Amino acid sequence: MTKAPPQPSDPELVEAVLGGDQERYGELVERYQGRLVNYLFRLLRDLEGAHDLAQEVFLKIYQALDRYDPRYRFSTWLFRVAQNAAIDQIRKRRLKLVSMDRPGKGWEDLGTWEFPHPDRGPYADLRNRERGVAIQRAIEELPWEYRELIVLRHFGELSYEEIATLKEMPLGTVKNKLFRGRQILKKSLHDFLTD
Amino acid sequence: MTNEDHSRYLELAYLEPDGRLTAAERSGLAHHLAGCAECREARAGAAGLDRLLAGSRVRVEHGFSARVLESLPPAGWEARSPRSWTAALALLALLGVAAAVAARLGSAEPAPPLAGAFFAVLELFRSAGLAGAGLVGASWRGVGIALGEALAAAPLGFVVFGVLVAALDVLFVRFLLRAMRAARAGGAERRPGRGERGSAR
Repeated sequence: MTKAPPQPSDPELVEAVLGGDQERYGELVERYQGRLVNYLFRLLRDLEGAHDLAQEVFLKIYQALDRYDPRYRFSTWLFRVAQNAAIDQIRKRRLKLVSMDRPGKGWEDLGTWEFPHPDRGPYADLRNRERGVAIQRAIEELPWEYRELIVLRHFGELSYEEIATLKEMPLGTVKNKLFRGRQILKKSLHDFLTD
Repeated sequence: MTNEDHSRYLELAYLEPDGRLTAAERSGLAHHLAGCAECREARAGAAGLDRLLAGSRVRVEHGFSARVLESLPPAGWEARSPRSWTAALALLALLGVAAAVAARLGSAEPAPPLAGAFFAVLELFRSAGLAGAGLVGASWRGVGIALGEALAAAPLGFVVFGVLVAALDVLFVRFLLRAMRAARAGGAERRPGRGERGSAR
C-alpha cells in the first residue's frame, strides 16, 4: 500500500504562491472554503451571501498575502478577516432595514446537507427541514459571546487555541464559554438530539 | 465529592466531543460518570449535539475555488515575485544576444536577408527611441529657456515662482507622510498581531 504524500502546510502554500505559482492559492481556497462558507452562513443566514463574502475574503487575503507572517496560523488570519467582513456586512444590512428580507437562499430554503439524513421520503425531508430551522434559531438565540464561539468551533472548525488567539481571550475562557453555549444549545435542541 | 468537582466534570462532559481531554481528565471523568447520572446525561447530550451540528453543515457550491482563482485581482506583491521578472529578464538576455550578434555581423560581412530584416527592425526601434528622447529633451529645454526669460524679465514673477515651488514641496511632503501613515496602518491591521494576529482589513 502506498503512503499518501504529505500535504503542504499553509505557510508552504503561501510561499509557493508568493514565488509566482498562483495556482497553489487554489489549494488554500479548497482547504478552507467549507469551513469559511459554513462560518459565514451561520452569521449571515444567507447561503448566497456567505459564498459571495467568502470569495471576497479570499480575494482580500490574496492581495495581502505578502504580509502574512508564517510564525502565525493562516487560519486565524483568514477567520479574523472573515469575522470583520461579516460584521461589516451585518451592519450594512441593519442599515438597509427595508431590504432585510431580500430573497435568497436562507436557512429555511436549505436542501443540501453535508451528511444528508439517511432516510429519504417526505417525513425525513420535513424532519430535516425542521431540524435545520431549529438549529439556526437556537444558534441565533444564544447570547453573542457564546454564539460566536460556538460558530467558530462547530462551523469554522477552529481549535480552542485558534479561537483563543482570534478572540484574544484565555484558553480557559474559551472552554468555559463553549461549555455554557453548548448547555444552552442542548436545552433548545433537546427534541432533535435523539434522532 | 464536592459541588465543585461535579461542576468540573460536567464541563469536561461537554468538552469531551472535541477530543481534547488529557488522559487524566478522561479517566477522572470516566470514574465520575460511573456514579453521576446527571453527568452521564450531559455527556450523551453533548455528543448528540456535536453530531447534530456537524450534520447541519452546508455544502460549498460546485466550482467555488475555480471562481475565486478566476477573479483574483492583480496584487501589488505579484510585481515583486521572481516569476514576474523571468520573462523580462529573458527578453533582455535575448536582446543582448541579438545586439552582440548584430555587432559581430556588422563588423564583418553583409548580413544574410533574414538577419538583415531583423537588424532593420532593431534599427527602426532604435531610431524611434532616439527621436523620442530628442523630442522630450528639446521640449524641456524650450520650457526652461522660456521660464528663464520670463523670470529674468519680472523679479516679482521670480518670487511667485519660488513660492509656488515651496508650496509644491510642502504638498509633496504631506502626501508622502500620509502615504507612510496609511501603509503603517494597513500593515498593522493586516499583519497577524498580538499572540497570533492577522487581518487584511
